[in-house]
Amino acid sequence: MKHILYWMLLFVWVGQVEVEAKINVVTTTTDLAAIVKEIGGEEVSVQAIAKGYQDPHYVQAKPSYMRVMNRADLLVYVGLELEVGWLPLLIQGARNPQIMPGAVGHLDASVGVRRLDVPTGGVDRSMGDVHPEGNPHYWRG
Amino acid sequence: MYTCLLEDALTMKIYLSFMLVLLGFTPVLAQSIVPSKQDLHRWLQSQGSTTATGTSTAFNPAIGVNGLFLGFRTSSPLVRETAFGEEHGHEEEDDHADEGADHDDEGDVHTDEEDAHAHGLPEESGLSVQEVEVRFTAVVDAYFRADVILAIPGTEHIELEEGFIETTSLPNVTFRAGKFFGALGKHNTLHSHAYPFIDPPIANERIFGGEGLNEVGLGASMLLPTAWYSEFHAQIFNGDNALFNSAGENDFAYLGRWENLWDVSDNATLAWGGSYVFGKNEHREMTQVWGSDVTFKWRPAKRVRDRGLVLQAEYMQARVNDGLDVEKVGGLYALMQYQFARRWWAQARYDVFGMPRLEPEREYRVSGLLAFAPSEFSAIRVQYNLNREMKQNIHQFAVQLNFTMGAHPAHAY
Repeated sequence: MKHILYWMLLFVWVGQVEVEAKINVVTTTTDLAAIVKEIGGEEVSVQAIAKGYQDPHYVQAKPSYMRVMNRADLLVYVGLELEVGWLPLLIQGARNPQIMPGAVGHLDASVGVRRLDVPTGGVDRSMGDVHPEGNPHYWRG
Repeated sequence: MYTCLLEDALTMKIYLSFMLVLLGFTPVLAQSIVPSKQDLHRWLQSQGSTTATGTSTAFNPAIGVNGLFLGFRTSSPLVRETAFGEEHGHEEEDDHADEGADHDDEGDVHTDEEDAHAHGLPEESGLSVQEVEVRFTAVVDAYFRADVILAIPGTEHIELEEGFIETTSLPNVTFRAGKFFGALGKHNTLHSHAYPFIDPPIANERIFGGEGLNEVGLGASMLLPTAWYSEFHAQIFNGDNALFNSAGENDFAYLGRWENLWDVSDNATLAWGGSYVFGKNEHREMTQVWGSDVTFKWRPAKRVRDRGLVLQAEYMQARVNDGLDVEKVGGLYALMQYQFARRWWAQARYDVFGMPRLEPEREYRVSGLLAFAPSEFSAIRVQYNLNREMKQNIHQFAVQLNFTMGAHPAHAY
């Protein structure tokens, strides 16, 4: 059993190597990236996961995005389940405690937004692709 | 009670507005502080989640159910046994006289038979429930998440297919403990509802049996600090299957896998992975299995839902030393999945088992599949297999209904 422990220690140790000057921000959409750039200016480097021409509902959870999110100081996403089909997988795969739900670097942009079209009563999938927490397309307003 | 409610700002706002109205303030004055209709609805919902008994449902795990119903027709019965004797437990063949005592009645024997093929195609023609899976998934606390997947292969009994707990808050590495599919190549980690074809590749079925390498153990997965995506998995298993069932107390099976992925363009990726697992077998000699897999995926970012192509090939070889001789068997599959419209997939697969060799001769299979998926949660798949073994052609035809109810975590890329 002893060498198992050594292996685990090695994994944790190798995991500590990290140096960055600018604040590394990852956003899910280019809209959010533009806002971050406006606020952060020179202090931040921003990368959006979904391309501007892409439908943010349907993004492939490519492992290469996990690598990008592994190195992020801050994650900004639209929320209201817009990215539910792929973002949880990426957060889980990124292995970055700074951007885990509840951590400082985890920013759900929908917090405090006045929600529209919140379904009253029950929802089920016979209604098609409904957003049970309300319309996530608030940034268009 | 009150302090608890007042902690919530929204709750406070609502209480305050009620008080203002009660104290006789005009609605115009109260307007500034009165919550919107949506806020009220949210508030009511949040209150509703705490029932009178004090038990909350808000922290329940997400629950999903997958069902696989199968219609099957074969030109003659076909059994694919594991190449290295039976697995322990329920996969034992019922015609072994010395183990007959375990089976009290006909019913048990029938279950065993069904079970051995639960993850693949049945031996004979007919209608069947291929499998029903119930999955519970949730974060445990700020440090762990857990998955429990119960499988009902056929209709008779329930088993723990996977049940593990995983760290979420460590940098770059995930530790895992419990029962889970070993990271041996691409196919071995899939649940049967996510198989690209209705049945598993011959190599997986013949080397590890229908269940695959699915054991109780510990694992660590680490993201490497490379310029491309690169991940290393190290896993240790108790070793309860036919390949690693040594009687020794400290005889574990050890697995390593190195996985890499490159973005060829915005629309395509190329992945390569290599796996190796070794441990002692029942003869207290070494069993080694190695595998290599390559995957190309293309999906135009502008039309993510309408077009896609997957090309994948995987080779796996087992070397089992039984004390006298080293037995070496391996197999390869290559598959193509092409999505030609939003709801339609056309697929082809070629399988060969017996590389470098197999006595008396190699087994071959060619498969074609057409899938119609009305939504992400249902699919109807039709598959044809041409099997070639023992100088005989066996034709198989299968129709599968694949559905998902409730919460289902997104599938890995």
